[in-house]
Amino acid sequence: MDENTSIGRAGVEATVIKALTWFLLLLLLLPIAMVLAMSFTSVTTLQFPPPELSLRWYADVWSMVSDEQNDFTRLRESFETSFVIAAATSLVCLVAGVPASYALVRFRFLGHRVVEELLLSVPIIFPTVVLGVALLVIVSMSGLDLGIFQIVVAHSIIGLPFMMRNCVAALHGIDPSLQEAAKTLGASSIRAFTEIILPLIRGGMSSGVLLVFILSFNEFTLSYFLYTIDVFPLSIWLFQQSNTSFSPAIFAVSSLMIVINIAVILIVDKAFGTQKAAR
Amino acid sequence: MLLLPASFLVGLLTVCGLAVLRMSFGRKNAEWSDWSFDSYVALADPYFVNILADTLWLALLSAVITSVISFPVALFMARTRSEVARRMVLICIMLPMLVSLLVQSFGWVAILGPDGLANQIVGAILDVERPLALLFNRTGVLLGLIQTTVPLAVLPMVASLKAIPLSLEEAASVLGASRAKVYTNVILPLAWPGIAAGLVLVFGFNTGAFVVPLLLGGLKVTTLALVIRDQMGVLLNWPMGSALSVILIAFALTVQALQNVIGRRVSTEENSHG
Repeated sequence: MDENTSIGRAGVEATVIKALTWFLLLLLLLPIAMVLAMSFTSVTTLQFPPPELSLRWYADVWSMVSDEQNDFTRLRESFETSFVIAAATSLVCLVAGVPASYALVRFRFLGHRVVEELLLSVPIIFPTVVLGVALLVIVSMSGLDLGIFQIVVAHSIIGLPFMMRNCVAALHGIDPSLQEAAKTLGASSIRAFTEIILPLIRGGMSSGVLLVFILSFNEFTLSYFLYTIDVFPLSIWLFQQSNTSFSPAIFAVSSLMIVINIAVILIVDKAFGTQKAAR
Repeated sequence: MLLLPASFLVGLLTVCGLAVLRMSFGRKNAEWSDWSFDSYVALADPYFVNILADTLWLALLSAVITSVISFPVALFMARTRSEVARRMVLICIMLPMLVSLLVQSFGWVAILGPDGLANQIVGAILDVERPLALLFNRTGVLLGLIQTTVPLAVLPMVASLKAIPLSLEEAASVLGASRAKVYTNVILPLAWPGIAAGLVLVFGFNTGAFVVPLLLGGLKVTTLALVIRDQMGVLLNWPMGSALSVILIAFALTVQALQNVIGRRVSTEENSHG
C-alpha cells in the first residue's frame, strides 16, 4: 500500500515539507557554496558575484605548493604536517578502537555501561577548549618536546568514539555463531578473530579510519592550543592567513579541503549503503 | 587487555578533567600547592556572570531555532520512501557539521559581510546601501551556531518520528481530527523524546562553542570557551580559567546525563509498543 496516499500526508502537505526541506538544505550549504564560488574569482577583492571567472588563485596555490623555494608562506609544509597528523591519528584510533569495540560487543563485564559511556560518548561531549588548555598545561609542565605527537594524541582522544561507533555497528551485524563455528573447527581465539571477525568488519573499520582522518585534517580547536612553530597544521595556516591577508588564495585552499571532505563523505556513505544492503 | 590502548586515551582525558578540577582550587602561580575558593568566589563578578548568561542564552536560542528548522527536514527524512533522497539529505546536513568551521567561516564572511550576498539582496529589495550589520556580532554567531548543529537535532527526531505507527495518525483522522490536530495532538507529543534529545544535544554542544564565536564574533561576542582561552593563555590565570572549565565540564556531563534519561525513555516506549 502506498503509505503517503492513505491519509492526509499526501498532496499539499508532502509538497510543502519537501520544498521546505530543500530550501533549508540550500541555506545550510550556502557558506560552502560561497567558498567554492569565490575561489574562482579573477580579482583580488572579495566582491560577489566575481566579475570574471579564473583559475589564477589555484595557480597561485599551486606555485606555492609545487616549488619549495617559493613556499614562503609554508603552505606545502602545513599540508604535509596535517596529512601526517591525520594519518597517525587514524592509525592510533584503529589500533585502540578495534580491540576495544570487540571487547564491548562480545563480553559483558563489571561496569560495562560505564566503560561504554566513557569510550563512546564522553570524549564527544567533553568541551574541546578545556581538553586543549588542559593538554597544553600538562605538556608544558612535563617539559617534553613531543613534536607532532601532542596533536596526534589530542586528535585521537576525540576521534576514538567515531572509530568505535563504526566498528561496534559492524560487529553487531556479525552472527556470533560464525566465530563459535571457527573455534569448534579448531581455530584459536586469535585466529578466529583475525580470519573471521576482522574481514567481516572491514567496512566499518575503513569508514572509521576515513572519518577520523577527515576529523583530524579539519580540526582547529585542539591544534590552535597545541601547535608549535615546527608543527604547523593546515587549519592553523588558514587561520593565520585569514588574519594577515584575506586574499582569495585562502578560498582556493579552502575549496580543496571541501572537495576532500565531500569525497570522504561519499565514500563512507557508499560503504554504509552497501553494508546495509548486504544485511 | 583489549581495552588497554583505548583506556590510555580516555585515561588522559580523565587526567585533563582532574587537572583542571585541582587547579581551580589553587592560587595563581601556586596551582598545585595552595587550596582556596578564590576563583569560584570571583565567578560572582558581574563580568563572568554576564558572560555565563550570554553563553547560555546563545546556546538556548540556537537550540530552539535549530530544532524548529530541523522538524520539516526530519519529517521529510522519516517519510520519504526514496532511499536515495534520504541519503542525499543526510549528506547535505552532515557537510556543514563536518567541513572545517574555519573554512565555512570564510563563506559566512562572504555572505554576511558589508558587501556580502545578504546585504546585496536585501539592499536591492529595499534600495538601501548596506542595510544589515550581520558580521562580527551576535546575529552572525547565532547563524553559525545553528548551521553547524542541524544534524544533532535532525537525527534523534527522525528516529522518534519513524517509531510513530501510521495507524495512530489514521485513527485520529478517522475520528475526525484535522491535519493540524493530528500534528499537535498525535505527532508532536509522540515525537517529543526525539525533539527533546535534539534540543539538549544542540544546547550542550553550543555551550562549549569556541570556533564560531572566535571567527564570526569578531571580539564582540564573548562566550565561556573564549574566556577560558583568555584566562589560561593570555592572562595566565590558570585557577580562574580552570574554574570556568569546571563549569563547562559540569554542563557537558549534565547534558550527557539528560541524554541518557531521554534515551531510556525512548527505548522503554519502543519496548512497550513491541
